[in-house]
Amino acid sequence: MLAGPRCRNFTSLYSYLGLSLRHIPPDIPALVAQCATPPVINGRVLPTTVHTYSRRAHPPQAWFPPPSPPHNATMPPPNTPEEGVPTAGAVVPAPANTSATYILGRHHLYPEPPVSPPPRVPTAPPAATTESSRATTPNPSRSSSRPRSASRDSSASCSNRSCLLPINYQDLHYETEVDKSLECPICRTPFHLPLTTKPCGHTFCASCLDRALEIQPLCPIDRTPLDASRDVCHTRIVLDQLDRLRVRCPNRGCDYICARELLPVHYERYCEYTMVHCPDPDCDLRVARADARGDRGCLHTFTTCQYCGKEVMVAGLEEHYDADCGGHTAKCGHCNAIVVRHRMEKHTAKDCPRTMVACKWRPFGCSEWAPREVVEKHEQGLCVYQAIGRLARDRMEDRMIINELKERVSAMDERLRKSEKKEKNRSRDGGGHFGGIPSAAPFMPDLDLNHSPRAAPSYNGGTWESPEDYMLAQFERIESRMEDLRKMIMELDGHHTMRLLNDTMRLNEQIAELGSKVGVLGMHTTWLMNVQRQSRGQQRAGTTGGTPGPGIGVAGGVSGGGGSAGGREEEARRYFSSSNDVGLPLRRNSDGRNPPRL
Amino acid sequence: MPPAAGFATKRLGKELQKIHNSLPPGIDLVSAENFEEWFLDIRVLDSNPLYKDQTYRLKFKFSSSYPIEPPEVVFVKLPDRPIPIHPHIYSNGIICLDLLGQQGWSPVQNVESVCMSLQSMLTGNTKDERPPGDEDFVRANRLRPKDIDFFYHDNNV
Ligand SMILES: [Zn+2]
Ligand SMILES: [Zn+2]
Ligand SMILES: [Zn+2]
Ligand SMILES: [Zn+2]
Ligand SMILES: [Zn+2]
Ligand SMILES: [Zn+2]
Ligand SMILES: [Zn+2]
Repeated sequence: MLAGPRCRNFTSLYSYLGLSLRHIPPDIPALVAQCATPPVINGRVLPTTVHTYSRRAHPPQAWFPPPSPPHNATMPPPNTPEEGVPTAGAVVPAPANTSATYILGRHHLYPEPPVSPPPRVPTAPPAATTESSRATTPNPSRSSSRPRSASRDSSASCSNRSCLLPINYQDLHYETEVDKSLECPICRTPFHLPLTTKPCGHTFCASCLDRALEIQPLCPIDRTPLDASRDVCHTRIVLDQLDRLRVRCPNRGCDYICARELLPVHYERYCEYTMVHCPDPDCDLRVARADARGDRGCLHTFTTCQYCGKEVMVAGLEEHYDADCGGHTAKCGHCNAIVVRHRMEKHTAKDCPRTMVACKWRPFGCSEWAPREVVEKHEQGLCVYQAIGRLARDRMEDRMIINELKERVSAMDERLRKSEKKEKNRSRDGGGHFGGIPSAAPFMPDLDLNHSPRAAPSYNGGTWESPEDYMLAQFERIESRMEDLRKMIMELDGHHTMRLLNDTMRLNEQIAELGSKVGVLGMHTTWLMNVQRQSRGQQRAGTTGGTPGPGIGVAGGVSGGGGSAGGREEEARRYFSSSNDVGLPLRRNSDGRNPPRL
Repeated sequence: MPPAAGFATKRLGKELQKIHNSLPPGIDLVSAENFEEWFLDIRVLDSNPLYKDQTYRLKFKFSSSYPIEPPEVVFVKLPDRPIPIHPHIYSNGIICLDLLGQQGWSPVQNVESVCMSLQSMLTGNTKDERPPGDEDFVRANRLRPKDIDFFYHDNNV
């Protein structure tokens, strides 16, 4: 057996590709791990569902949020039945499966879903119920008729029945053109949870980098040695752009499009096509959220298709009709298409291009009545009633808004009248100090509610045709007044700023002037002080010749002590020569030096 | 493993899209009918007498963990597609290139970059010879390229 043929290494190829094989020794002590925190953007912890790569067998590295304890241990969702069952759920012996743990953590990230009345909706609280019922009353005889092995891998290990399959970000379909610089060099899709290497500054998706580092701990681009737990950090700069990318919901059948940062909310809470756990607590399979609703029980039993006789899972029946039902088909009487009989109704109602239908603007006067394909074209551009229809639709919407407002106004009115009455009663009962206040005063802000249509039915008599018109006019008036006020405020603001500016300018000038004056004064003071000091020194030198001050001349002192005539002479000369200097000291002093001595 | 397989498929789909749009000169896509096996032709662009007027066929095999793991790349012999002569290419088409080994591979590489590497490897070669022990190796080897434990020792070719 050949152990290994001798061959050669091609470093030059790397340089050809502009790559480098240099193993840069990482300055590890300097790279203090700063990213041991979970990813947080704008104060919001990033959804952690995305951390559930199935390949991770070992505990998560430091840049992933630590697995949170089961959610009901830290934050029991309000109004759930599990509060009454103390040990439910929390003690579920979670299998050592990191993905399940992470998904549990998801419940910390979003507010609890609204408590919904149907008991079997598979959002968190009901699922917890099923969980707890299973925990308290173990069911030893689980029915064996179910095809439990069918798609076991995806859901079998879930300990929490409200968990969802993670969104696969690499499979998302982007509606907008994505800049190349936002693409991960490994998966070539826009980054998901981008991580940047600290030594060399390259960016990858967290999952991609994780996979690459599992094989070898080098930067995939330049082979810098990397320590997965220390040498990477989050990249916030691109997150904003990534968040804004428009994506399509990954669920089959869903056409929802939103900004990428909003996708988890749609997917986890609203999308009807998200696969959730089967409402049957004994079933490990998943169904679409819409199917799980409505107490239909487990949809994973097999049934025989009524048309082709095939064994089909109940949950997959619709799909079967659409895709591979070869059974009793029928020819559409209009377009000759072969349609499963089950679908015929839907076909004629929605799809058949030959069925006669009316233009959708019919209520507004269009009399078009033709096969669907013709009408569709007609609706797209030819229909003259389109403009009117749109207008009418808008008007209808407006009307709805007006109605709502009307209701609110009347409710307010009612409340007002009640409190008015109360106030009156109180002032009548209490007598004393409340009497002076006009009863309507607290309710008379700038909005003249007392003149609302009911209180003053003037709209009937003359100017107003209907309460709606009255309300509209009222709103317009208020709006214009608000606009006026806004303008006034802005004007005032402008005036204010101008005045402030003028004042401060004058003050600034004055301050500058004062400053310069102070400076001049300071100069004068120094000059005067120097002159004084100098003349004092000279005085001292002149009067006490025999005892010279320190620094004036030790030599003079010594010679004076000698008592020779030459010493006297010298002293006199010194005096005169320095007195000649009197005109100069200012300049000398300004240098900071002592006046010169001989 | 379903997610990993999807990963490879997605990435290869992206690469294929790019390849259909443009490829560097001297590289042509022959067939890519699935995401497991692709065939490409490469030519050497300069006038190296060893490879002049020749086209070589490359076979890429992708595992489900591509691009985390390298693809398996070999030259294929056909009537009009010989195996290029090179001190690192065995006569059965197996290529000894650290770029294609577990150690030298990087997930940022792709089909195009591998082809370009091979092109440049041929372009730079002046030796009209096979690797040492070629005959023995070709006769005895039953392993797949990725299982062969190549011993890379030369850093200057
Ligand atoms: Zn790098
Ligand atoms: Zn990636
Ligand atoms: Zn959706
Ligand atoms: Zn079920
Ligand atoms: Zn059928
Ligand atoms: Zn039809
Ligand atoms: Zn019409």
